[in-house]
Amino acid sequence: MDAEHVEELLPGHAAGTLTRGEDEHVAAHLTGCGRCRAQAAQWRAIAAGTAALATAVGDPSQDLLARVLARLPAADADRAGAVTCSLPTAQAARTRPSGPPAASARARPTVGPVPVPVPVRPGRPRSVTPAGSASPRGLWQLVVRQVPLVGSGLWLAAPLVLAAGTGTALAAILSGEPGASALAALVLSLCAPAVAAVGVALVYGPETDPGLELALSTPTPPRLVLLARLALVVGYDLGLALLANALVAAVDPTLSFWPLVSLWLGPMAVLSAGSLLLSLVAGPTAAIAVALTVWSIQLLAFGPARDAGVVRALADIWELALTGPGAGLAAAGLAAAALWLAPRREPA
Amino acid sequence: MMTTMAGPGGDTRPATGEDDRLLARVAGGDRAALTALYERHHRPLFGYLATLLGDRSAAEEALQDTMLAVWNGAGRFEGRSRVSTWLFGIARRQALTRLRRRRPEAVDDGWLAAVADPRPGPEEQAVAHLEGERVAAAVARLSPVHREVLVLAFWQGLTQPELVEVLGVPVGTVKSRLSNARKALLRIMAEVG
Repeated sequence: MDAEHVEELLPGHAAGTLTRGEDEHVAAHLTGCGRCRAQAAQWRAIAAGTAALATAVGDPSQDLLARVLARLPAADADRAGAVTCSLPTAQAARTRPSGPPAASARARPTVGPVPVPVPVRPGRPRSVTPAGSASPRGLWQLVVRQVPLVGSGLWLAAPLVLAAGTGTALAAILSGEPGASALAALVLSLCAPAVAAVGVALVYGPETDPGLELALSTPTPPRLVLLARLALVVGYDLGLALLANALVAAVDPTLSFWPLVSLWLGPMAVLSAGSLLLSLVAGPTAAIAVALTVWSIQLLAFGPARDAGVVRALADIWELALTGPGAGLAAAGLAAAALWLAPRREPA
Repeated sequence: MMTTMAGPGGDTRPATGEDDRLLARVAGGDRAALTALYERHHRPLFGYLATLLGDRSAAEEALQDTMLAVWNGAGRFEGRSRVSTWLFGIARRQALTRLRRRRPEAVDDGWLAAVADPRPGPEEQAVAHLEGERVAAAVARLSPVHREVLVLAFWQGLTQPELVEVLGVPVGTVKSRLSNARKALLRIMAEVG
């Protein structure tokens, strides 16, 4: 979008919800910009049409308040009792539409099919307190219920990539050629961080993941949902990488388990944390692109330009930031920033 | 025949101080306060729910459950947002519970973003002159997620931070959702002719 235009402010301008300064800025811009003026007129028409639709809905049944009040004694009893835990269920969030709504040109709110009557349980609004899910059992349930919510592609892609990497590494070792161990270690150190960074980028994506948005709309604190998914995906990728690591170390007697782990653990942590932060700020696609770009820096050391000064400098930065003790700090800082950015919600 | 509101939003928003007092009384178990809170907010809440759910009876059930959740959860209101914003957040959860059971058409914002060209085309220029009723009919045909953001922004007059809070998505998503709602609306109107 052209920065000179005020398109993003036009809905607020039509709704009358801008600050005075913003409103004046928009008004001044509109006097000289036909394009924004045309769009502003559209927004005014949309505002009027939306208000007309919502107004046409009318009032609810007159006895609705009485029905609410009639349910209060039971609700009051609930209030004193234990609060039930209603974490998002995979089945609910994954349910797909049974068909398109019955489109209606009439400006009445009967745009969808008549829903299946919802059984009304007396006085039991589904609610959960953060304390309800903060128990070890509640947290475990939360993590487990994220499993089907995370895209199935993610569960399949990680083992496939790591299996391919491990296979390549093992083939190199078994070939017995000089430098085979170094190549095996390199392949592993390339695969593990990339798999984790891509997986984590897809942890948060309300635009592409209706399941998550529904999960975030539950009373479970959004940060907790995000953390549960993060723990699940990182734990999964970490477990797979450790398994691959163990296999390679077992087959090659010159490679030890922990030194091998140290090659990929730092980059995995930093790239994953950075990827999560970027996915929150700029979306999953940008996060994956940036993470893989940073990840690919290490490949330059094997390319034709490996002796160039800039490549060496980049390799040094990579070493400094993504391996060793600095990596832990960098990953923790990036992850903390990501959690701070996670959507907040008023508990109800 | 529908009427078009001259000033969307503003006149449906009661003063906040009284809401805070009423909610505090509700937290103490005062039924009269719940009744008063209902009287002050049931129209905007019902309009929102019915527009989002596209169904009156489902909206009434959602409104009932919303008021019961208010009764049970009033003590947890911390005053960090307006009472009305908090109410819409609760109502939204009730609506989504119902939408989950009959999952609405999946909306692909990415696809929608590509639907309309950003330059005003002939149909975009035409929409500016359309009457409210025709636009309203098109709004009714939008996906729930787009109807919702339009109703909250234009009927309820929620500010951008309030939309972020009620919808629980980043500000960039609020902006793109509004923009995509407009594009989807233009598409529907172009199809209808």
